[in-house]
Amino acid sequence: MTRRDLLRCAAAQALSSALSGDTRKIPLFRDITAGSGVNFVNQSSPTAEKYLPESMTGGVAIFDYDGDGWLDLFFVNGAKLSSPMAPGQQPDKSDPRFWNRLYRNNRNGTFTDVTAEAGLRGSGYGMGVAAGDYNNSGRPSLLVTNLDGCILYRNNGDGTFTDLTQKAGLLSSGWCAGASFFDFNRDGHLDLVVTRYLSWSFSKNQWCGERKEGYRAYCHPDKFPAVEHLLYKNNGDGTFTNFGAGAGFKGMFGKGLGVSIEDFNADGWPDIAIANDSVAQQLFINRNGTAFEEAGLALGLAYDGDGRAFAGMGIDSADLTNTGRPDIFIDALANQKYALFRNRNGSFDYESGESGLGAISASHSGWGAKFADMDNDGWKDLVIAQGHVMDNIALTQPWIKYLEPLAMLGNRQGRFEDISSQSGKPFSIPLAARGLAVGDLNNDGCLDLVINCNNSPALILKNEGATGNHWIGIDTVGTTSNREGIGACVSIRTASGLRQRAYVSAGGSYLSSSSKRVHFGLGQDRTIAELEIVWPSGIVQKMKDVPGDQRLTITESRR
Amino acid sequence: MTNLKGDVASFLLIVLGLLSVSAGAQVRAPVPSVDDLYAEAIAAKRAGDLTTAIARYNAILVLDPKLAAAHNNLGLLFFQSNEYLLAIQSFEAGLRVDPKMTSSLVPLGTAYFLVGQFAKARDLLDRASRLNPSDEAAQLYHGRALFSLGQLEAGAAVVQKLLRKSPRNVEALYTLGQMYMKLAQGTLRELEVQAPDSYLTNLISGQVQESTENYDGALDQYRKALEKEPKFRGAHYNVGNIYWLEGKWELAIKELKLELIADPYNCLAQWKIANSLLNLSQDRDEAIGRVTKALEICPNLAQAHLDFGRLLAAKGDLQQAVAQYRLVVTMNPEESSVHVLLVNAYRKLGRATEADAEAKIVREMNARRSARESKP
Repeated sequence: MTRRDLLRCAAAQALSSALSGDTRKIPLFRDITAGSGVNFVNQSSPTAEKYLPESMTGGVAIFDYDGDGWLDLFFVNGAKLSSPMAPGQQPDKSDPRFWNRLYRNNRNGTFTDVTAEAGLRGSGYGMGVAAGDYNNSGRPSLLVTNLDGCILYRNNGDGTFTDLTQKAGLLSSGWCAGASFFDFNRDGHLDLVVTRYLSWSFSKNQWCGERKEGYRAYCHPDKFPAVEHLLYKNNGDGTFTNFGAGAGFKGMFGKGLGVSIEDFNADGWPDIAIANDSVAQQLFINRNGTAFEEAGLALGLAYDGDGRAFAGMGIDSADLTNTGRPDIFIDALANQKYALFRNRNGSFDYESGESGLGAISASHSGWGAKFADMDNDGWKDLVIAQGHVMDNIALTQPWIKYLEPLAMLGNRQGRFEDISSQSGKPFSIPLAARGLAVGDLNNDGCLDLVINCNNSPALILKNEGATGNHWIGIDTVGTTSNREGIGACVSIRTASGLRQRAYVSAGGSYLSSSSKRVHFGLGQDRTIAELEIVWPSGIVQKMKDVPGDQRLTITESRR
Repeated sequence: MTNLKGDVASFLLIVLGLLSVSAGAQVRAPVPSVDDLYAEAIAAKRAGDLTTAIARYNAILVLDPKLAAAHNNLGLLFFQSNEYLLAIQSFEAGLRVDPKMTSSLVPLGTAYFLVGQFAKARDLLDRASRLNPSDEAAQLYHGRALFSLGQLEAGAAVVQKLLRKSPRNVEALYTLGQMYMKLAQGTLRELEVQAPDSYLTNLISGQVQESTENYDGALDQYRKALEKEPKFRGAHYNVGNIYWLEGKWELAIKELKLELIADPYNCLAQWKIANSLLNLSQDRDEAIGRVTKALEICPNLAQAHLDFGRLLAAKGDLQQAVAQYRLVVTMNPEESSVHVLLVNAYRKLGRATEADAEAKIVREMNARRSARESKP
């Protein structure tokens, strides 16, 4: 963080407050893509055949691949499709336009494309990405989900990656979508969950929509059967075992997209929440690290307040009311409402109306979504990538928009307020936004946004408006636990008494992977009176009087 | 239309295959070279070389013009090549040789339909439908021919009959939708002629647009109707209902309340105000009052019972909520959403056995729905 950054943050904060006529802090964002060196353009290859994946790619990861303390970017790309695809024909990624892309952070607001030297061009039609240090090497690897299986790229620690999918036992099939690394049995090695969307292939594609020029539409997921998600157990030797069948995943069919990991019932074991499209949402409760029990319906998460299924796409979980329990957000398509499920001691109440989300979201369609304290006031806000799935939706439902601006919803002590119009120009530009990830790209204490837009250029939005408040960024380093401290639960109490809680995870959103660094806004407090980390190993670590406005690395203590 | 033709062509190719077998049987004995030509025609067709296949059948018919099946096969190839006039010639030649070869009637009628000779198409497809009442293509194109001849009600009746047998026939659904739209448009045009400045013209136009989910267009028409005739029953309801459908609940409440001034007995308006308040999580007591009023007027309004239950549950009166949900189950046992609400209510009441039973019902309903959806 430079002095210029600090001054700009403060000035923007003052301007934002003045413009809004409001003393509340409004985060202000600026699109810095043009000068950043990131020129990624998602290529989804739209065809006259209206192949469903065309409208659904792709994800983005914010992660520190080279361990320099500065967050880097990875974008997932589609591939070239023919119209129609011949029997047996595969998507073609050979043209550089279709490569996935890795951008190294130059530590000065710009990035350098290092895809080729890193060996991350990719293959297949890309959907999503998860970052995680599965081999405890100190450098996060990447799991890229494709239309036909997943690819594991091991981070070699020298700026390069190696495709170890087969060797690691991760060969898979089917339309893989969201993924997240987590340590479900708390053995110190990151396991892996992968959502799968539909039993779909190019040969199974159907004609949907009216049979007249321009009216062919992407099919509703009801047209295709659901599939089982994938759960892989890390063997601790660089390989994985497909563990789904033995762990309660068998027969649990979904149409999965986003996935979020949290300890929803506070029993110390990480659970899995999966956003499913137009079927019941799923909540896999971890039974002591040996198996999962799907309990979405029993615990109130499966359906909306009307008791109906909705088009779950992006998902995230966080403690929105600072009560110590993680709530769950799942976005949906227009004509539905974004769903907010409040955590009531491990079961959930649908509270879209009560939270203000229902009135805000009825005509919008959401994808990537993250809870993050954008204004550093101590309450986690909500940012949503939006846009309808059907590019010709206006022909049949003119009041619904294919392209929509991003949404910024300010958290007012548990109730959301739409502050998009005050959050800067990027929140007024219609997009086909899909993957969204959050992280502090310039280490200035303001969380930034990166968005992968379907068949259009990516966006990097710099947060310039929240530095009036104080903050802390915490990097966890596990020793007994997994190296990244994924699954650690961090709680703080600031000097003025505000309590907050966060769970270390890179998951959530839509097909994307955010910075795993825990970020707390501290409001006007300059210090944290008490900080506690409960590590996945069970080790509890406490600190007192921790100064704010710093990035702090906490290494897991020995027992 | 292109794809409809594709579907018909697929269907006809099956027929082609069946007929080809009989053609082979007929050509093999008297003239040996017909066999060779037939084999070449089949191979060419399989390779997608329709031109060669057509040439081989033409050669067969030079050798033996009395081969009715060859005429039919040739007609099918012309049909597949979009050469409908040539297809008609071939089918008719085959029928002259063998008037009992009724399998030609459907492709012949369809070809007549596709070249715009709707009266001939209608007669042939009517005959084909009577001969084989299970032939869905015959019925579909018979309905379409009637429709194209302006016999809208008769066409709709044929397609409705088809849909009663095959409710998932998307072509038939599409065709019937087109017919209804045409009927609505005709009625609307007549209204416009008779009363161009009437609010009723705007009203029906709004309803047509609402039916196609063009809510912005419908709202515009309903507003014009309201301006012309502010006092007709339903004026504000129509506007409020569009806002309600769009999830603009505050605007919906305002218009629906205006409707209730004109028509205090509109139970739908009462319920939709309550539902909007529920969605906004505002004024639960007013919402309960509204839904109670709605149920006094329309005691069988299941949606109002459902929302009454939700409001009671939100107030913590779970026992009474369950009672309302149970009423909805009685009214509409196949509605899965109420069973989801029962799961939640029983869970909060600590009645785990009942919650599990309701969850089982939901899962069974979902399984049945998935099985239905996965059928081709």
